[in-house]
Amino acid sequence: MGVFRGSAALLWVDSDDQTTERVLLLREPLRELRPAHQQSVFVAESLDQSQRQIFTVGEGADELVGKVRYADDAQGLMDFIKAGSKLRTVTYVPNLGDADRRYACYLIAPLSPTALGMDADAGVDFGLLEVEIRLRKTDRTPFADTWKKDLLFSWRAGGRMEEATFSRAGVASYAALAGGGGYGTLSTGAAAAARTHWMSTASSKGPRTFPTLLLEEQRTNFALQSENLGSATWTKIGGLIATTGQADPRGGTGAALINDNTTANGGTARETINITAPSTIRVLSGFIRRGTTSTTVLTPNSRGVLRLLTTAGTQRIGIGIKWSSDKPVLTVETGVAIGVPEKWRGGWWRIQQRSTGNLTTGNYLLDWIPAAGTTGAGFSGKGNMYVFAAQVE
Amino acid sequence: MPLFPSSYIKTAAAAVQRVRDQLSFPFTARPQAMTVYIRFVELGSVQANLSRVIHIGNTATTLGRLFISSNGSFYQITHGNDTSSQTATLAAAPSYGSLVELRGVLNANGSVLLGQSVAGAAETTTATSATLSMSSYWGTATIWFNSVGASGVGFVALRDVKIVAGVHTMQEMRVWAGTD
Repeated sequence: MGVFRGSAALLWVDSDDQTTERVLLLREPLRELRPAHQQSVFVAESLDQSQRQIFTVGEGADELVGKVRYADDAQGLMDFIKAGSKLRTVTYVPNLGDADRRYACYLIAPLSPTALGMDADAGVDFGLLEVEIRLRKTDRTPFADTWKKDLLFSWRAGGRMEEATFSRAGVASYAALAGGGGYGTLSTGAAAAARTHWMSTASSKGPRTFPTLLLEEQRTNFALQSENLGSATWTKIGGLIATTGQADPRGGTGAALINDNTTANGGTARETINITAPSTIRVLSGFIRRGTTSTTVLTPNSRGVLRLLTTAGTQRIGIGIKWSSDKPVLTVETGVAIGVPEKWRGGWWRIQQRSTGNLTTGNYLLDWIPAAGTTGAGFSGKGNMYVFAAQVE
Repeated sequence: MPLFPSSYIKTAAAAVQRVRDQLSFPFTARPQAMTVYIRFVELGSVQANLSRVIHIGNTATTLGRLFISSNGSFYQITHGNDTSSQTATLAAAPSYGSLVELRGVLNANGSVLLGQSVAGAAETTTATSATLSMSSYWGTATIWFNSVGASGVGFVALRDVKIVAGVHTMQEMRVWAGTD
């Protein structure tokens, strides 16, 4: 059977006895463990069950139900139940080799009067006993890591974090599952809120199917007015028309449609940004969505561009954007590709690329270009594109 | 050094900094032979020198500690006691966006080994390090993710963590984690 006396224990102090501490050694930890909960719940339901209301008192108490098995200390086990019946604090130690993992509890059930049962496997032959007990931690919080003594730690994204220490002094964004057909709604987590961030499998093209906990180092976005292309910070060059108020990946209307409806001008939305120390490799990213078909295809092979230039006009990061149906096909015009475009709600994609070498500190030009012609950085194209949330970090 | 994009940061008239996340849990199990399984989406930690995926203990280099970190190119596992440490380093790095499973083994003799599976592919492992006396306690009874305190901060999207007493295979850890 492979059981050993003393691998777990129930401890309590009973002033009715002459010892500093009573110990009920268990041959093995509590078995058939399952979590339980008690709360005062009042339900009101209409006769046709179409209306239902629930009133609760407080948050209730988490509990743990499990069986003491193979017990050969009959009186010790009964004394344990007697102590519980007197509302003594009983301490459950599931692994005496890890004695700091202990749970101060009240015994909720059974209380006296009760009778012990014969162990299902070893009761008849060996007289061993079993009893199912219901414990509630004195602080009413859930039991952690009691299920199997070999499991030292267990956590899964989306799981309980009340015992964790988490900090982040400001807001941060993440992908929520709701509202975007599974492709992710750009959302903002409050300060000190851990971000349950939904992701898809490797390609990042499909719907987001699993939660993760997003943990990041600090970063700075040097792009300005990232959700306000109508701002005067963004200069519209070459007759570019920016129509703001477009649907965005948040589910709001912070995006813009940038339109260059002539091949002559080279329409661009441009802002000057200042990149501060240190001089290092930088990453350019932004959200894009295919423009309206009536103008997107006016010039064959025209492409959109998101780029970062020095003030002298040298391109340091350039992302060429074409479309295959509603999916972007990117070309590296300057810099290094990173991963694949990440799909978001409403036909939005986040694209990214980094500089080849370090960028010195100072001013740079950030451009959104809806139609840049066929090659190079020429501006002979014609077309439009939805854009949102440029980021230079 | 930003080599990969991080989550989007909204700006207005000025540049905006998103500050780091910092996460820890209590961890009361003492140093012992154990297997650490962690599954996450790679978002750039492997390129950040000394960024921690997981760290048991604290920043002190003279106290018991076990951590999986990056050496700037590859993931590695380190076990340290009061006076010394042992490290085992992988020879391949996951690419950005990959689903990564790491299996860190702390043997009873204090040696360590690290296994890695990327996108469900066959596990590759380091050689087992030299032995090292096991500490009797961790620097603190704390388990950190993606950093140790304010140091060694990386970029991960964390999915599952399981730490199990004893030495277990990747397949066994997947069963524990419910991911097989």
